[in-house]
Amino acid sequence: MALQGNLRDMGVADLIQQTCQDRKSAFLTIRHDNSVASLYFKEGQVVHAKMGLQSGEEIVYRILAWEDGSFSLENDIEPPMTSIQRSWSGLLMEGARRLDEGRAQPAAGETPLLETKQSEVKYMASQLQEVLKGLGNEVNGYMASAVIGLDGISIAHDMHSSKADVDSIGAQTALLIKLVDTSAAKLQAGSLEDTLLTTENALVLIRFLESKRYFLTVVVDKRSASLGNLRLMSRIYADRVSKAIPR
Amino acid sequence: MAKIDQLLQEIRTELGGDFVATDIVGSDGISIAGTSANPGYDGSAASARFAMVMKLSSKVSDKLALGSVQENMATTADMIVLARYLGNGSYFWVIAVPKDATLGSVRMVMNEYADQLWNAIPH
Repeated sequence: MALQGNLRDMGVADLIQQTCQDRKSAFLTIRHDNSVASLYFKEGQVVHAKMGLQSGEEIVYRILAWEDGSFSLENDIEPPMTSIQRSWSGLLMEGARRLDEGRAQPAAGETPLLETKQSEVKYMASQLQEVLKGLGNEVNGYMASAVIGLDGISIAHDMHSSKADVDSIGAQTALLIKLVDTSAAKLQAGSLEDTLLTTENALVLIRFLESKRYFLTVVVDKRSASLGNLRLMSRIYADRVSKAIPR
Repeated sequence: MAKIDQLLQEIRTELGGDFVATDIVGSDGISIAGTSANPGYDGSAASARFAMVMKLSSKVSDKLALGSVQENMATTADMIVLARYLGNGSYFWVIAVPKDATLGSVRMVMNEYADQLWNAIPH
């Protein structure tokens, strides 16, 4: 049976991320205004996209900008062909970059912002990296940290453990903080600040940054971690990270 | 089940002002026992929502190879909600406390009562 829904409840990036994370082969149809796009997934990758007579990864970038419309996802459908080679995380990252650039397009008569924006992004990334390195020096049992957008894509990270995979950390912790945030809202418990996952081997603290458009994830080794140190340092460094992200 | 209710009342008394609500919840999201100091707190909704949170937490931990999940603690503007697996993980214990509660004491009480609650659940 097909999973159906509205893009306002689950965005295109979330749909792609969820389907790929679950390593599904599936067929996704998205309707927006008078347009209909089709995406085919094979074993957790987007392999084909089609809209009208066009096909390929450009379609994915176009539909990532759709904020309203409906979707239908059917599992176990084989793609008729392959028109996309790029990984799903690469598609989402490139899509996010293009969306950002689109928002930065100047109005007629204004100075182009693209070059300025690119240098700002590089500067921001190096600033964030420095802040995360500082955090790594202060937290006991530190393994990894990342600044992640609500789309699950990391904008900066610092890994001390070779086992840590930033794409997985970004995608998984985005799903978790969104669910805990919705739960807190439903329970009228006030705005969510952070959520701390304690597992057999690690503590994972996920803390919203000021605007709630990004969050900070810190992973520490449970054996050498101190809960108080982790909570305090993540609070202090979340403020520093927020200040390093341009408004 | 009377034993669980008695333990939950003891926990409520021990925490005093640092208490909002508590529930023992099955993996299906249904509470089998609970008590609340706040009439506005919806224990059924909290149980159902945190069952989803605990399931996703396990999936996340699995994907990141961090071992089995023990606890999830959410801090909001008004309260802290702790959800901890009991025994073999077929039930979990949710406890909500005010944001300014002494978290160290709350966790100590949880450590003290977790096994007792698990043993009091009819199997």
